[in-house]
Amino acid sequence: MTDPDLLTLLREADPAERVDVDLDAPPPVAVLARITATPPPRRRRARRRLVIGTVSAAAVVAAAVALLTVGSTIDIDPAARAYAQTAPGEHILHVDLTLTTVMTGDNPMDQRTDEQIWQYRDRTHRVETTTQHDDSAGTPERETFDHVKVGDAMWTRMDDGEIQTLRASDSEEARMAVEVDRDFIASFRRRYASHSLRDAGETQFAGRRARAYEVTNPRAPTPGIMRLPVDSETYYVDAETGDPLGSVKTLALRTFKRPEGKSKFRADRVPVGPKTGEMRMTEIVNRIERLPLTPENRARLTADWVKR
Amino acid sequence: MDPQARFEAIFTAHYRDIHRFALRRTDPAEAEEVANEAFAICWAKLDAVPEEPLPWLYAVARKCLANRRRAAVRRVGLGVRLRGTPAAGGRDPAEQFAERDAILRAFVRLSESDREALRLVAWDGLPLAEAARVAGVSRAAFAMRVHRARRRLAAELDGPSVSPSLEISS
Repeated sequence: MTDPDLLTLLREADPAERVDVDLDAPPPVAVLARITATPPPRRRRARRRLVIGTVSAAAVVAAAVALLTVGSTIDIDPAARAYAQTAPGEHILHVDLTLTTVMTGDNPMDQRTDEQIWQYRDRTHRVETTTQHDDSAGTPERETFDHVKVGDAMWTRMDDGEIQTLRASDSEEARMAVEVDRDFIASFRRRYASHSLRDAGETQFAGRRARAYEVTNPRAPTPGIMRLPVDSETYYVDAETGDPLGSVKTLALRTFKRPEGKSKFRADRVPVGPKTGEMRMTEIVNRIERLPLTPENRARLTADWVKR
Repeated sequence: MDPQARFEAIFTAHYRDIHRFALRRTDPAEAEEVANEAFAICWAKLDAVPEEPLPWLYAVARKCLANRRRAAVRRVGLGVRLRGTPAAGGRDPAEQFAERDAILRAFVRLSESDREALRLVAWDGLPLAEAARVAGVSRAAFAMRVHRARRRLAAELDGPSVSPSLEISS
């Protein structure tokens, strides 16, 4: 056998052509979107060095988002676009959303919460106003909470003016309260990053043509995150632009049933008795925008009542 | 060119090449991770990526694999044996097909250094100069490495004659 024959033989035995992998499949656009959702770190270093050259990471992200939303040559999954659009960067992310919670059954309730959220790095300012109707109250109850979170600390001003301060290091309970992801953006990003979303096809949501993404295992607990275990959790993203539109979560309401042979209920156990109704939580993103880091916009990251 | 557009172009043109490159060196699950990691590094260091990015990407993917193997060795060294964790990164995929193929049987008996030299020229299809860059050695040193690897491969194959030629492709 001559040497060139050896190489030819070796070329023909290429293991990459034999493994059970579809090598002709198009490059994974979700991977592309995930990689480019964060600006290259080198650019951030360059900006710190050259203060005047504000070719900022925000601009890079904006360019990436613009490409993802309009000019991309690749057919990017709308969820990947939404993930990219909500990526942190050198801008303040402002989200205006409405959460509606409707409970049917023995204790019907109809609650609406309007939220304004401003987020930048480890700072979050959230103002939420809740209006609640139930069958016992003649007039709706209305409450406003104002939360400012900086790093591991959170200040909350209640409706009556009382201010509560929590630090994640105070206790496990405090840590969960501070770190819980309450809104669509945080929970969507966590679900997307952990590959927990299944494309459920096109539909209509909030009057727009949307792509639905169902959480594959909504009841699975998330380590370190305090959240309601729901029966279904679906996120909606604009089918064309990738704009995040909102989510719907449902939970069957059941009577509590004492487990066989147990004398006490376990607080961490989900009720397993007969179904008595349903809770349906609908989040609608009214507006999502990236604000430049002007002094005026930075002021939105805090509140004048916060004392540190 | 806009950085995003340039990266998209590189990703689209070469993702499959890098995926194949990794599949020749490790199992499919790890190969995909290595390809993704290589492109994440490409994005992070986009300004350092040469105009012809493929050899650079191969070199990055090779380093990613080496890092994973080192990490796996460390894990074993620490006595942490995770279920399903290979002893030192993914198994050489050539071993999987060696029983059915004499050339692969001979290939898997070579040292890792010899195998890598042959992978680069035979399967990744790189000319000597570029393969040398990926391997991180001079062209002359790599040419000698390939020559020896070919000779040893031939020796493993029931005593075939060996050409002294170093010419593979320029």
